[in-house]
Amino acid sequence: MIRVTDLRKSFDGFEALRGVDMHVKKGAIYGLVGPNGAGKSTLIRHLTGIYKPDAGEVFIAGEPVYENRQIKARMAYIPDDLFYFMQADTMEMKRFYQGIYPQFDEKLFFRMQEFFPNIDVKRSIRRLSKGMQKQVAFWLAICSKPDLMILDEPVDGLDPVMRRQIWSVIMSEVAECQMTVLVSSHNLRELEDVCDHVGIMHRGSLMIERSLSDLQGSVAKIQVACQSGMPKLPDNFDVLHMSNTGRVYTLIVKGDAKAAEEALGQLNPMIVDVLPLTLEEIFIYEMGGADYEVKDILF
Amino acid sequence: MKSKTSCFNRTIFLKNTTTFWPMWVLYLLYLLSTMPLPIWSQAKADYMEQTAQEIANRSYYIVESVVEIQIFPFPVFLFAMTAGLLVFSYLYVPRNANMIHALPVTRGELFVTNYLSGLSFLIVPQLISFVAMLLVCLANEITHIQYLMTGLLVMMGEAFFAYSLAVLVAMFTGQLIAMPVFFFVTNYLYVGCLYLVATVVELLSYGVSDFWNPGVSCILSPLYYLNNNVRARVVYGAGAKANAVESINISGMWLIGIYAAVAAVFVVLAYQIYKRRQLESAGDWLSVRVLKPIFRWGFAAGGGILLSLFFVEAFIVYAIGKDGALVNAYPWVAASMLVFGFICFFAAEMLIDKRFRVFTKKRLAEWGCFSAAAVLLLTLFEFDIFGIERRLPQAEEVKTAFVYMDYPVEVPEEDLEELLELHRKILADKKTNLEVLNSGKGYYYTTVRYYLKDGGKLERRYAIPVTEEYLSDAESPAARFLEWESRAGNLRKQLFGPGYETNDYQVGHIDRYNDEGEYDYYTLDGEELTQVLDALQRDIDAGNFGTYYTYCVREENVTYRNELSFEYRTENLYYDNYDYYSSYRGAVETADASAERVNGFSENQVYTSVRFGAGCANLVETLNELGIIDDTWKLMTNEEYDGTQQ
Repeated sequence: MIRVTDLRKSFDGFEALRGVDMHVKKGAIYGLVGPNGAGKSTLIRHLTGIYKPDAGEVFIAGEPVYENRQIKARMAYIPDDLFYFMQADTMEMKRFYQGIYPQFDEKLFFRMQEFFPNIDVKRSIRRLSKGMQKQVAFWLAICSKPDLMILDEPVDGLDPVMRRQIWSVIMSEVAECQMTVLVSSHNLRELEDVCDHVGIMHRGSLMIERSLSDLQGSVAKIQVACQSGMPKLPDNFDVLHMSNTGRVYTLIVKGDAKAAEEALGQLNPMIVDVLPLTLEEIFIYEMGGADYEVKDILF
Repeated sequence: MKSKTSCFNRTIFLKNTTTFWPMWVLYLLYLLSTMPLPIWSQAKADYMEQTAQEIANRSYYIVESVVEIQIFPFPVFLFAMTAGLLVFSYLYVPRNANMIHALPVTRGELFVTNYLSGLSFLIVPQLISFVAMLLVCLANEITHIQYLMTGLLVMMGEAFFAYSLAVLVAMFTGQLIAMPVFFFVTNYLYVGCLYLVATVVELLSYGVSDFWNPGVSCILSPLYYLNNNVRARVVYGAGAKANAVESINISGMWLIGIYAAVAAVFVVLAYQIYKRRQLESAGDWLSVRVLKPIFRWGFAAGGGILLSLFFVEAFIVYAIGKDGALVNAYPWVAASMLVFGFICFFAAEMLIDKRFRVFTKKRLAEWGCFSAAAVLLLTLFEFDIFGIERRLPQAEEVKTAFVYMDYPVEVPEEDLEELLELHRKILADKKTNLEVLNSGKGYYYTTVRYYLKDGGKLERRYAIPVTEEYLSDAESPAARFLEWESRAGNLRKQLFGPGYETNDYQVGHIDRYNDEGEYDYYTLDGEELTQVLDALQRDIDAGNFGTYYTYCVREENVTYRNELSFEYRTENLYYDNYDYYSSYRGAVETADASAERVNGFSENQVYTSVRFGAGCANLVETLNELGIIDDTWKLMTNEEYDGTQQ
C-alpha cells in the first residue's frame, strides 16, 4: 500500500530525512516509532502529500501521492495538532468532508453517532475538549471510508474507554475493508497491542522495519545467575546490554535466543531464564545501539 | 460528479464564503452606506436651487460625488488585502497548511478556488451596491447612470488589481502580520525609494532642491498613482452654456486597463509560486528563499537611510548648523548609515531567521559588503559624480523659468540665457557662497525653477550673498534678480495676480491709526477706490515701491503698518502666490475653467493686501487729498505705532 524509496528532505540545510525506505502492506497496521526529532512527522507529511520530496519517491497504492487527488481521496489523516475551521461545528465539518471526500458515507456518520454520545454536533468544535475534538476527527475520518488511515499520536487526549472504542472501530475497519493503518505514537505499549508491523526511525532514516513478531523474536532478555561471577557468551552473540543485581545478570541478546540459552547453560548457571521483550524495551535497546542516549533513562 | 481536471472546488468555495462572511458583509455595508445611501439622501435633501439649470446640475453633482467614492482606491485596496489575507490565511499556520494540503485537492484547485472566493468577496458586494444605486437613481429620476457604470468598472478594475497584488504578496510570506506590511510597502516602495533618494541628493548636493519629482514611473506605486491620477470631474458647457454641466469626466481610465493587465500577470505568478511553495515556510517572514537577501539589503538600505536622514535632519543640522546654515552632512549621513544600516540589516536577518543569534561571520561579512556599497554610493552623491549638482538645462529645453527671491518672477524668454549664465556663476562661486552662508549673515535664499518642454522640472535653491559689496556689482546674481523683481509688471503680478490687466476691482479698505493707538477699518467708496488704484499704479510705474517687497534688502521701519486691501474679480480663476506656472498656466491656459467651480466657487472673488511706505508718494498724496488720511487718522510705521502704546 505504501512504498517509499530513498526519501530525502532538508530544511535550511538540516537533513530531516536521509534516504528513507519503507514498505507497508495492504491491510497492515504499521507502527512508526522513533525518538523526538527522528523525522516521523516529516515522513508522514510526505506520505500524506503535504511535502514535496527533495529526492526519492512516495507511492501509495502504486501511484505517487504528491498532488494526486485520487489517491488522497482514499486516505484519511489525523494529525496530532488538529485543525478545524473557525466556528465550524461537527455538522458543518461533516458537510465539508462530504464535499471533499467522494466516498464519504453519510449513513455511517449518523450510525456512528451512538459511539460519540457526548459530542454536541451543533457546538463549535473549537469549544469542545481536546479529547472530543479528537473523537470528531476519528468520526469524520472513518466516515470518509479511507483505504489508508494515517494517524499521528492518535489517541493522545482520549480517555481509556474512548481509546479502546476508537481502536476497536479501526480494527473492525481493517478486518472488514482491508484498510491499512499507519500510526505514529510514543505509546509503545498501545502500539504493541494493535500493530502487526513496526518501523523504528532514527535521525532521518528507518533503522528497522519488521513484523512485530520477527522483531520480538530477534532480541531476547536472558536472566542468568552463575557461581563463577559474570557470564560470558561466545563472540558470535551480540550482547546489546548487560547489567546485574548481585549474582543475577540480565543480558539483552540480539539473535537466536535458544542458542544463547544453550551457550549459557554450558557455564553451569544456577538459573537461566529467557524472557520476551516488550516493544518499548526493543525500542530502547535498539536506540541504545544507535548511540541514542538512553542509558540514563534505563538505569 | 466532479471532473478529474476541475480547478474549482465548490465545497471549499462555500466554506470560504461561510467562514469569512463578516468580511464581505462589512464591505457590502460600507458600499451601501457610501453609495446608494448618499444618493438617496442627497436626492431627498431640500436644496435652495434657484434656476432650472441649477436643478439640472444637481443630479450631476450627486452622481459625481458617488463616482468619486467609487473610484477612491484606498477602501478597495484595504478590503482586497483583507480578502487575500483571509482566503490564504491557512498558509501562515503550520497546522492549517498541513491539514488543508492533506485533503484530496490539488494546489491548483486550492489556488483557483481560494482566489475566486476572495475576488467574489469584493466583486459581488460591488455589483449589489451598484444595483441598489440604480434603483435609488431611478426612484429619484437621476438618469446619468452611465457614469455610475463607469465608476463600477473602475472599482472592479481596482479590486481585481489590488486583490491580485494581495494574493501575490501573500505567496511571498508565511506570516499573517507580514502580509499587510508587505502589501502596504509594495504599494509605496517605488515612491518611497524615490523620496529617499531625492532627500539624500538634496542633503548632499549643493543647491539641489525639490528633487522629489514623481512622474509616470510612479505607476510602480499603484495605490499612490491611482489615488493621484484617477479622478472624476463634472464638465461644464462652453459659451452660453458655461453654467450647465454637460457630463462627468472620469480621467485615468487607461490606468485601470494597464493595472488590470498587470493583475493578470500577478495571478499567474502567484499561482506558480503557490505550486512551488514549501509548506514548511508557514510562520516564516519570507517563504521564497531568493527574497531573503533582497529583503535584508532592502530593509538595511531603506531603514538605514531613513533613520540616518531623520537623525541628521533632526539633530545634527540643528545642533551644529548656525543661523540655519547647513553643515556638511556627508560624514554624518555616512556614519549614521553605518550604524543604522547595521541595526536594520541584522533586524531583517532576525525576522528572517526567527532568532536573535544572527551575528555569524557570513552575515557580518555580508553587512561589510553592504556598508561599503552604501558609503560608496553616498560618496558618489557627495562628489557629484552623477552631475546632479552641475546639471543645467539648455535654453532651448526650457519652456519657462522662475526666479524666486522675495516673490516668484517669471523670466522672459529674452532673459533666459542671462538666467542660465547667472546660475552658472552661482555654481562657480559655490565655495564663496557657502562661506557667506556659514558666516550666518549677508545671504538670502533664492530659488530658480525651470519648467522644461519635456514636462520635467528642475529646481535649485541657493543662499546667495546680498551684502552691499555684492549688490554694488550690478552684474552679480543678487543684483540682477532684484532688478527683475523691481520691474513693474512683476510687482503687479505679485500684488494683483496674473490677470491684473483685466481685474474688476470691487471694494477697497485701509487700516488707519490715531495717536491713541486706536484702529479704524475704512472702506473706500467707488470714486475713492478708482483714485487710490490709479495712484498705486503710478507708484508702481515710478518704481516708488522701492524695497517694500524686496525683503532681502528692506530697511527697518520704513513700511507702514497700515494695510491697503482690495477685493476684485479676475478672469484668472486661481492665483497661487508661490507658483504662477502650475496655477496660471496649468489651470487657465488649458481652459480647465471647471476646476474651481467644482469646488463650489461660482464667483472668482480674490482678496489682496498691499504694503507700502512713505516712498509711495502718489498713494500717500491721494489718501490725503481724499481725506482718508488726516490729522486724526494716520499712516504709521510699527515704530510710530509702538510709540502710541507707551
